[in-house]
Amino acid sequence: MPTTPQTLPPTAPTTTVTPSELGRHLLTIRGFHFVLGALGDPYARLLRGEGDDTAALGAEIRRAGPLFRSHLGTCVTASGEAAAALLRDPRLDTRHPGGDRAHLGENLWETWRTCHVTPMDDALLTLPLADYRRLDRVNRPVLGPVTAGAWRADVRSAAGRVADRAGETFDLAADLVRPAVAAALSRVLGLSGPGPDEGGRAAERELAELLPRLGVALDAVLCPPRLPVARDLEEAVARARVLVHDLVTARAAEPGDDAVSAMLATGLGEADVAAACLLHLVAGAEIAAATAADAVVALLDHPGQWAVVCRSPELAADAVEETLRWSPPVRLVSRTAQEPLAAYGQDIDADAHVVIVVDAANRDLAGVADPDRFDLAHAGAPSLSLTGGGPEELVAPLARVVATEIVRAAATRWPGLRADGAVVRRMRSPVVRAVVRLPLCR
Amino acid sequence: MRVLVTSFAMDAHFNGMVPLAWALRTAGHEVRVASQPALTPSIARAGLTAVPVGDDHQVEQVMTAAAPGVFALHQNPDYLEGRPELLDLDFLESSTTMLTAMFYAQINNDSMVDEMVAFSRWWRPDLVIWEPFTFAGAVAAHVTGAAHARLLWGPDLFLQVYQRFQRLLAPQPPELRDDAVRDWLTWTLGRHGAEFSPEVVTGHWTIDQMPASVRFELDQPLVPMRYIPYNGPLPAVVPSWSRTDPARPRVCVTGGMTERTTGFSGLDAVADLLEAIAELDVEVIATVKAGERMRPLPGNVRVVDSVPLHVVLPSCDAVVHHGGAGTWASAALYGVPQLALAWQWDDVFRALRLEKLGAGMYLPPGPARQASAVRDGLAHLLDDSSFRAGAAKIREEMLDCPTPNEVVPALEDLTAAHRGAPSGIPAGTAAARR
Repeated sequence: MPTTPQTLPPTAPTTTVTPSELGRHLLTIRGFHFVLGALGDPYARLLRGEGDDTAALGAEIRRAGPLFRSHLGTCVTASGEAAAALLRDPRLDTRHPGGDRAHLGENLWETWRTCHVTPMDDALLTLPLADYRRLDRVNRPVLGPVTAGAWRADVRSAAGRVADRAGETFDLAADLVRPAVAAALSRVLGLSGPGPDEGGRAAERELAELLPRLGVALDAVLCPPRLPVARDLEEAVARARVLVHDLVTARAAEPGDDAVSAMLATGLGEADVAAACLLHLVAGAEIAAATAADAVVALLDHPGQWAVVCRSPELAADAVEETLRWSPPVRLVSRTAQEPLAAYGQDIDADAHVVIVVDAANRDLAGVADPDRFDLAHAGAPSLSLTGGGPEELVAPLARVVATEIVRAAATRWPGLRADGAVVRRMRSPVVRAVVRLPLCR
Repeated sequence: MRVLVTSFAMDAHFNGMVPLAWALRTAGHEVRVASQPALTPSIARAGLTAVPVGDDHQVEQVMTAAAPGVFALHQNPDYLEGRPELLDLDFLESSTTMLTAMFYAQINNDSMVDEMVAFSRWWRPDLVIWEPFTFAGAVAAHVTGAAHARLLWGPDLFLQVYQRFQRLLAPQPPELRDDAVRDWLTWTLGRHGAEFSPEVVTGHWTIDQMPASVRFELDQPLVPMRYIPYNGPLPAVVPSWSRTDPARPRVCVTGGMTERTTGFSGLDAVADLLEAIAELDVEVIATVKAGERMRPLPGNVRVVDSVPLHVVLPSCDAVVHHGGAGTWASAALYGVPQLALAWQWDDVFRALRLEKLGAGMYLPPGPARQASAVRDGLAHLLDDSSFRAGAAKIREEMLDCPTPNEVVPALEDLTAAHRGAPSGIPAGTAAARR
């Protein structure tokens, strides 16, 4: 285990569980999801992460009322109004009131705790929401909603370079989206320079290998990965922490024309810059990849709309926004009640687990005509995706730029693009529903 | 040879192993029986040598919470009725995940597995014979290089379904293969420095106590063996009332060992059932757990706490039971027509085979199981002599199988062929020094 770089926030003491103990913990929770799924619990079925129509399950949860109480003990909402309110509710946060709890050592048959399935403290995905607000002070001036666009030219050139390498047939995830996200982040964060130099290529290659391994983290909070995947994730997070530490240290000594240097220039401290940077690698990359991939999948499923984007590539941004609404990259947002609250006819106890089903909630918001349909004309429609003040909101502006530029790179090059096989999604991926494979033909 | 026999701590699963354990013993082999401490009294009562390993399992606590979902999924008729070719990947993944999480990994708790491995490293068995869910035996054998075999107590529904699962997984891309049994065994073996191998699921070979017409052909090395009833851990005593022939047809009604030790039973409203059956011109012997409150019953019903099935069944004209493996096999061995009120797992498949073979009837859950319906079914079973003939054919098939004594030489040969080098790396230095 590498030592924890000092530039990152302190984490919980390293867990001392053995692989067998971790495996048993993950297996038991997976068992819960299947057992309750077999009894028809739609939230448990969602968490299984495969084999079900997620839109239908979301609708089923919504029909059960604004707050559905799953047999897992979780209060689940798929209602637009309730979701919007709960995402803003200051009485909900990411951790248990009074501090964190490691569920790994607990007897799950007594606690039934399925809120923090895999320890994600080192990945910084379960920080208190106040911490994300603090981290956004270094992020916002450089990679915030207003500022992230400044990196568009860099991202466009990185995505374009990757797209230009694609052959007549290629894979959406492996040959376009994943390497383009790696190239873009590598450039923006300053792991590689503006040109295609050898050092930069190596950094891109490492990121292309590392980012998909890290991406599992968003799913692993709620859905137990297979043990080898969980252990690989742990290694990947440790590697990312070292990478970020080295990067921030190097840019602190010798600033460059990159986002990390710009964040350091805020003077708010290396630790927070490193933390924000880690979040872009762990959450931002996966969100950008999922959004770009799902946008391409949705557009190719709607050839008329693909043709529109190909004619007017500036509409790639609209395609990304509609993808975020219709097929969000973070479908389930997990919260814990910090105090007892009554909402929508339910008493939510302090320490209760609350989950917002974002994709279903988005289809239930007022002011969207035909919300179940993917339609570029929905541009500007309300959406709860990547809101709520968690890590996903912090990384969202850059992820939007990256996803948009990948869609644009495809649309400007390949108007005749078509699927040459079925979409394969990652196993046990109820949060991201990550695309791992889609053969394409130019 | 040194032979380690193992079953997780549950009498119904251990009982079927006792005659073979004794056959090996009387053939001059050293035999040890490893299980959680809770089974030690039962092993000792069987006159065998117990090796308590690890802590007791908590499967009852787990299954109390998980049973509704587990049972709901497994009510799938294609599963119950043995049509694995119709089961899809979603069912197979669900079934494997649930059973691994809620059952296999529970009854093979880590401390039990680890102590069994430690014992095997020290004792060095040549052969491990394991009850088909007691994968700890396979792990201990694989780690220490012993030959190992599963000893079946029923038709091999588990392996039949698992093979179907493997066939459907094989064409999937590797990152989409989700096999919970394999994952669990992989990290369990990894704890002892060994890697997964398919034999850990199947054994090097399988010893099958089912008659040929109730056996699956699964392309696995198979040693058929005659089922020999063993009544333990209850004392086998011949009651005085059973020492003369009954004046009227005798019917045994029993929920078997499982009803005595767990809350699961197919026999609901036993008193209603017994009253209805007693309307027939029969003598009823009913096993009802001691302490169970029972209202006064008609004079032709004899309620007993328990009775050794091998003592009473030869005098019976029919048996009404819950479908369990031991009761089914005992009745089959004595050629008694069976009315099986099965509802879960292999019980349903075995009950349906009775119908197919003309040796009994299966009454599915629901209206068919009302007391009057059971009575009518039983009347039919007693009236139609073809059931007796069908049951006699199954008895013949069972008598055609070699007895445990006769099987021992084959086990010796197979052990010599499969005995290998240890594959695990001993974690403890004591074991390493040996």
